[in-house]
Amino acid sequence: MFVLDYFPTMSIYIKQSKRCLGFQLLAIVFLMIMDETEAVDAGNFKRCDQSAFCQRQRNFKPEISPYVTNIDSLRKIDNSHFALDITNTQNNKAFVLDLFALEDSTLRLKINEAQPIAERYEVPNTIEDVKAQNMIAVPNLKNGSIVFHLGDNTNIQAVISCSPFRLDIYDEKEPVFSVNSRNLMHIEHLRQKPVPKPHEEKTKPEEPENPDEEQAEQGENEEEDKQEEQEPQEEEKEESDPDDQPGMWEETFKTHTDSKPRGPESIGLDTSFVNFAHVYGIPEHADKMALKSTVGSEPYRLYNLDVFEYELDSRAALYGSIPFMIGHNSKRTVGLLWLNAAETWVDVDSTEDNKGVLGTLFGYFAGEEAVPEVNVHWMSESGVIDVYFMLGRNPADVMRQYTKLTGTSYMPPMWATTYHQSRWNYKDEQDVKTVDAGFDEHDIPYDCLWLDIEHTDGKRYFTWDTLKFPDPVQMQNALAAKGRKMVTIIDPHIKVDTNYHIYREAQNKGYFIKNKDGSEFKGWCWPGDSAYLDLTLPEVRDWWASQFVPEVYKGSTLNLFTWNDMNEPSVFNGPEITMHKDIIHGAGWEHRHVHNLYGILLQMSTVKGQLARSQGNERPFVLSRAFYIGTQKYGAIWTGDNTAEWGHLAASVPMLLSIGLCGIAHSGADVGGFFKNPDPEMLSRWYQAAAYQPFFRAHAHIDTSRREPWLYDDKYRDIIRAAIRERYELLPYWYTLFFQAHKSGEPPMRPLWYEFPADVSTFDKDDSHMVGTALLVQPVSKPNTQVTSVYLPGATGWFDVKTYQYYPSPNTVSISTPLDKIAVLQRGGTIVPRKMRVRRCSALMTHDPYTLFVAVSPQGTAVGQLYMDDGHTFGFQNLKYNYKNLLFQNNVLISKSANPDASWDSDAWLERVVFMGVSRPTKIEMTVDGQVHPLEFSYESTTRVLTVRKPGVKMQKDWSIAIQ
Amino acid sequence: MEPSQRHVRLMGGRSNPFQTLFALFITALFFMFFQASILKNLQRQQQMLINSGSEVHNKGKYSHLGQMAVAPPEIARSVHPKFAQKLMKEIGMKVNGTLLRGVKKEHRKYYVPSKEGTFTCLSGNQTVAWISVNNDYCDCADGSDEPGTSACHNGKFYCEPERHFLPSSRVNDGICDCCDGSDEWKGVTVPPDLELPVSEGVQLAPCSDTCRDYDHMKLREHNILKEAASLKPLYIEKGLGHGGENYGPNGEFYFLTKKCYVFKSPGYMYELCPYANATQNGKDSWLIGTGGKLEGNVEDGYNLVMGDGKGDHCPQGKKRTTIIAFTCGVEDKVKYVSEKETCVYGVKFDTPAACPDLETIELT
Repeated sequence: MFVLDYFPTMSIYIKQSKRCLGFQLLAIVFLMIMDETEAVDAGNFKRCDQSAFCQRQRNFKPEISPYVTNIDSLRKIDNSHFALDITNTQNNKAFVLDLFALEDSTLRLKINEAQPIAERYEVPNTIEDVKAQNMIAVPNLKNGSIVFHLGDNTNIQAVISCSPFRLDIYDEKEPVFSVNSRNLMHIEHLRQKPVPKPHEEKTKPEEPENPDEEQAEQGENEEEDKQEEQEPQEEEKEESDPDDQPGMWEETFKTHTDSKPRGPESIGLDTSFVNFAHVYGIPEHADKMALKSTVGSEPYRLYNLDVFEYELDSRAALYGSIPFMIGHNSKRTVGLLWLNAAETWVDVDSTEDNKGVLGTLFGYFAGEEAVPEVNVHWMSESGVIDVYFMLGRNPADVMRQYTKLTGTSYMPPMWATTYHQSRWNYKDEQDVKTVDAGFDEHDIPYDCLWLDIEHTDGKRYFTWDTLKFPDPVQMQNALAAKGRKMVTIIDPHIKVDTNYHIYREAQNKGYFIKNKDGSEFKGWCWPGDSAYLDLTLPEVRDWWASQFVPEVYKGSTLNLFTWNDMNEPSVFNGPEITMHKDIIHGAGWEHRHVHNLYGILLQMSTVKGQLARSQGNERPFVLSRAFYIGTQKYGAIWTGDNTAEWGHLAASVPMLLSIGLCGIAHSGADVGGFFKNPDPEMLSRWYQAAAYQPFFRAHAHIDTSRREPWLYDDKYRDIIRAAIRERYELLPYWYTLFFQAHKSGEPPMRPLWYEFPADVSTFDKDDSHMVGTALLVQPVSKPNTQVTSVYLPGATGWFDVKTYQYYPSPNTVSISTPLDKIAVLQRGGTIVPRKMRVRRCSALMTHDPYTLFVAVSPQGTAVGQLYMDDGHTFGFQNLKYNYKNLLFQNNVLISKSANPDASWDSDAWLERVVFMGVSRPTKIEMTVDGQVHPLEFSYESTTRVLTVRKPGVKMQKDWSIAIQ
Repeated sequence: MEPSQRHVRLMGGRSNPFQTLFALFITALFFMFFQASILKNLQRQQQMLINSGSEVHNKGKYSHLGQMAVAPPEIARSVHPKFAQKLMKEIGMKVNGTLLRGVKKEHRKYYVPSKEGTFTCLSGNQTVAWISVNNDYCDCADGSDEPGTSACHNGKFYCEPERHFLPSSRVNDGICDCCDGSDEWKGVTVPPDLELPVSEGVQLAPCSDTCRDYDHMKLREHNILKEAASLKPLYIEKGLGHGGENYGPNGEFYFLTKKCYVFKSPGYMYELCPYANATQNGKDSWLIGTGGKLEGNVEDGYNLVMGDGKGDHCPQGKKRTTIIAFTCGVEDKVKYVSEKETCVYGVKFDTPAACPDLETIELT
């Protein structure tokens, strides 16, 4: 692609246009108009100083907050809900504050305009039905504050100070959150657009709603009041109004002008994490896991964008946005959700200044050493202030609280947790057949083969290129007959072509997003001119869902699943490669209000379609590139178009950790890197790393060389095969972790501090991670790494899963990592289930036997769990599963059903138990159903590993094994 | 390379009677060897068998032992009744609980218990109890104690009628990989709730014997191979004086320089002139390769790499390259062309020039 080299800014438009000369010409013409002097990323995408509202919010730094409330306005709405009036004393705008007490140590703060001239956007479909808890309010007239006590969590108090408004949340009398303590709260009220005519209706909504309150404030705010009351001098006021700043009513970026019909409506709020030095979350950024101070640099940006060849160490926006942040210190973990779907910028200011929040906090910590705090400034283009505070207190509590609010992870079908083979593109049925056969010939397991956009008839999704794929049903069946699956790509841009049934039908029904003038919005994407479905409308989502039954999606079978790409949405010729913000969606909202929701709505509708085609029996699988709060309910995501560079391999760990901390259990990065060609060493290391990441898929750009593992020297092929087999061996453990994520929101891939919350040295660690509670993994992300220095936290020691070598901890150790090995260690005190018989795909392993790896702690104990079900239906919701608690103590290993009512019948049996860190026994006996049988064993005294042979018991039974 | 071409040999008729005889002989041999020690070992064996997991063949004999909780107490419930019957018959034949499933005939001499009742792993550096052989638990580091089960990750199951090894992961996985179904001796089926579709070329357990078809196919392939190979001398003759690296050791590929070959694929017409040029003709015409460099050998196959085609629109300064993979066939024919990656075209090309020498085929 010659243009790529000379015109990098345009390369995204034309990376697919090789055979489409007309489109290419258009692209080149368009390219000439564009500013070529700027770098690829920075040029196409906004900085804060190129975003008017970000600038306005960032520049809002009053000495003292103009927002005040008063105790008299306190109203009890119900047992868990109080309301207060808030006034902006600069312009007398009235606001309503709602404070809700929710179950499980969670508080919600909402602030909206009291009487906006138009409704302000509130995010739908995102927060689950959560229970409330009782709350009582105790006003303190003396210091002008109100203390709120929670009924169920009596250690938690929320204190609202009235003048200026401020909210502090305490746990056990220690401040945890502080809101508006930095005076950054700023809500741009909706207003009429100023016109040259001086006299119009504009001031009507500005009339004081509460005359009493208005008077009460007058003394303190004479200046503002004066301004406010000079209604006749409208025009003069417009000019002097500090709120009337450039970019409020129109904004131009590059060639695109945003007309902003509603004018300014941004919101800003500071929320301090008091006594915290570390905050995490707010994906998606190609950056470190621990959020960095943004003082003097760019804020973190949340705005779903299709970024071509994204750069590392950047706070720039990527494909997904989750405005959820976690604060963690050695004794507490807390969470904060900023519920908003519009473009959002987040400033993070870490400080040790005790004169900050605490200095103003009634003498808290007075005289103590400086206390760390992280001040977070949330800035969104529209919406209302809607913040959820989760008080933890440990990491698992926060994840439970967050996923109660936003939903827990979907339960993936077993095959989706295995290895996936993808490429842009497997060319035709012969290619698919050859690749499938290659895996079998080289005895490399895989479960799913993916087809990218080239499988379609001219990028018309739900169709096939019938020349290359004349019999897609037969093709799918050939793979499915062995238990394998296929995935096709289905994107939300619809080729403008009245002969294309999807376009025709959606057009007839009026389901596409429209321009301001009511005409159909058309943007460029893979097919050229494309229309975009208005997924904000339920009827459009239902219609989309109805396209997935095999009778409608011709050539599909029940073994075909879906990949939703480009759903930010990607619009090649749109501002920042996405949709114009002033486009109006069906329900009347502009795109700016709903932008970050678009992707999740597509995934949600696709899931619905897959459910419908099996009458709700089979678990769906949908991979999405864009994501948002709650994406975990619907499926998996991946980190988009990464690059075959060591840095991108390393970055996959912090990126996936951040995503996991925001509830998404099933996430991964393209193995090998999407762009460019990995050398075989890098590819081998990538496989080794990704085998321990939740979503494990190899994928590559169409311009890269073929990468099927057997195309490399045998040495590399064998390493790649070993890495994939390791994943398959560990499937019982992964599947258990996915079940736990489904039940309680715990991310399968998690940072070290999640498991060792008191160990300060883990708080910044993002070159290693945990898989569940038991395994610590540190990928190799540099060439020629023979030795890896690994920090091992905790006091229970670690065992190398390959050599069984024992490492006492806490300690930093050097672990040999030649090309065929990375550092994977099992924590003392844990039990990991594996299946050591790896078949060609997971379906064929259903009834295979288990091996339990028991890493005994210095105290002689170990715990673990094992979850089993049929792997693909919803039977588990009707107790068709086995969930075993595994416990080793007093030299007895016990397996006991966590829920004795649940049962799924399986022939799977216990093949072997490997105890690490035990002495040589004299006798081993197993007890099942009251009968005692002796068991054979072998013992390796150098590693202190005891292997118990063939207990043979059915895995679903309760049993015990005693070591004497 | 087509995998089937790696196993070109003339298949004899079905050898079941011989197999049975041989198996009986071996069984009798074991019986003699072990008669004396059976009683002594019985107690221990019983214990082992209690714990022996899913080896079905133990169960007929020892089902009276207390194994209510031990899995699976009987033949897996998913076994087809017809198959189960066959299985029981087979079990009835066995002595000492050991069946030499998956052992290549020529290797059976190694699968003989020592006087001490042990088996020496094929690697030679490990000795395990004889009862460990094919008891569905991996004892030998080289996997050689479990040729007939899936217990060893590195084990190999010998598919006798097809004369090749299967990885042990194919044993009892529910898919028939050996034409006589011997790899699915347990009759384990894939979970029926998966409702796997039927597809040509994939047979699910319980398996039927398809060795006749397999033999026919192999015979046909062999005959084609022989026919094709018999044409090779013609190519060598034509290439006289061109022997050496670029036209094959005997110049057999030189003849291909004399002609161009056309292939129609969906959307494109390819014209391939080996060693000269290759073009893709559609809406536009592209030179997709010129010249040619021969790589490989007769065992692994020959590739003709035709590089230096037109570079327009190719990534990173790449130039179009066509790689012709030659396979042995009776006529010079392009079988398949695909742009396997951007600007790299893969061609499958049949020619007698790529055939092994006729004599080497007769030998196998």
